[in-house]
Amino acid sequence: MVAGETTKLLTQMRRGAIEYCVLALLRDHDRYGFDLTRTLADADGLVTSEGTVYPLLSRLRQDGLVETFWQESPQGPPRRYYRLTKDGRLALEAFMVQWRRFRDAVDTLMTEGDTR
Amino acid sequence: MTKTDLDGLIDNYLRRLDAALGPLPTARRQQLLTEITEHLHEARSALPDQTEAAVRDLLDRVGQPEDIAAEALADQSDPRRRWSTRRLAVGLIGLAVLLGLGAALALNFIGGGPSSTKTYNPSATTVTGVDVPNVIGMSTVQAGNELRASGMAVTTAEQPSTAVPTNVVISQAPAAGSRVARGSVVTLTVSSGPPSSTATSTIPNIGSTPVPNGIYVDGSQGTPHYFISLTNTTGGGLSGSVDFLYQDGQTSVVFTFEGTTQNAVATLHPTNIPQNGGSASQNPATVPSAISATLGPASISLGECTSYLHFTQSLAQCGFAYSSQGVR
Repeated sequence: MVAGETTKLLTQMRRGAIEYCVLALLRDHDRYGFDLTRTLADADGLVTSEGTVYPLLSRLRQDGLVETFWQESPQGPPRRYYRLTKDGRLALEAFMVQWRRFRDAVDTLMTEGDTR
Repeated sequence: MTKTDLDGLIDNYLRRLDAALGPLPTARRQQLLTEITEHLHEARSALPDQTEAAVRDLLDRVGQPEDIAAEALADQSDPRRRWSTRRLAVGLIGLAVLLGLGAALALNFIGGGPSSTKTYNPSATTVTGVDVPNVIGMSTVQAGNELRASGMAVTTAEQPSTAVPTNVVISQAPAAGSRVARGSVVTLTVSSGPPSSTATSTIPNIGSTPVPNGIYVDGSQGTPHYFISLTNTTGGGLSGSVDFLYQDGQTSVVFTFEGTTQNAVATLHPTNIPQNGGSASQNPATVPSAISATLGPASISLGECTSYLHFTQSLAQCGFAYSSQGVR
């Protein structure tokens, strides 16, 4: 596979999973934008830049999976926090179940290929 | 490099971003600009050293405006590309089932073992009825697709709402989970946005707050209140207006100010003005679609221009959006 195709493949795989990665980051606690986007951007190869996460967040809000609220900050102005809605939590749970099956199935076949 | 030059770097970046986001609808563009502006302030305040290199590095991390715009426009320009997460989940389930089957078959084939392939019953739907899915909170289009895919017909009725964004389903009949005959009609009540109103409101007097004037916005019960604090100074005259936008499940508030903004700085912050606290409280049903306020001989006065909202000092007019979602 040539390099260009690898990039394209990565883009497609990312596109499918990234929104759920955002949901997963919000599973245990609410986060403000800077914290959320920096954490995502620090994960290898998931997003091209911190800024590109905001259109994703906008989409998730539009889908009713994430909502925002304000919270006082220990320093500086209040922060806009993002949190999962009930639908968001359900979508994440459904994804996680399917993702594990998907991953295991692919891994099984890949490993099978290795040992033959 | 002075602080002002660093501000300039950020201003310049935001201008590029604004230009790159040009093709987006205004409300969405402003929402993204606001959130990224907030991000920049947050990132900047986290910098140990306010140097040019540090600010440039920070902007690099946020990314090229063109990349951000491309991401935002990707689903805007081609709705088909925009998978709803619900659909994606269904798609992935399908894919996982297929892969699971494939893996099982492959293993059987490789191992030569006895077939243990499960039989899948792809649908539990009986011929006698179908279950009505929950489509509340979906867009009209999404809801229609969902229902039609489940074998139902759809009619919609519009109803004004300040809490639910335009074209989003408020309620449905029959309710989710009901079993109905295939082909039954589901009636969706869809938000037509806030009730139209041309009412204007003068700046309410927020009695207990330490500022002489303010504009506040009350989206609905429990929603954080917003106000702009304005301090009368020796600045020039200034007038402003507030528009409400509803999108993304959000109440966005667009403030537009005209007049002298020399040395003007502003803050807009949610503050928990007590509910039912007299004049500071406003019934959600009466939130006007626009508030005009003439601020008289006042300038918007506050600590630092870039601390929260962005005022471009050199421009006579500037607009920005602020959004929030009600606490439910």
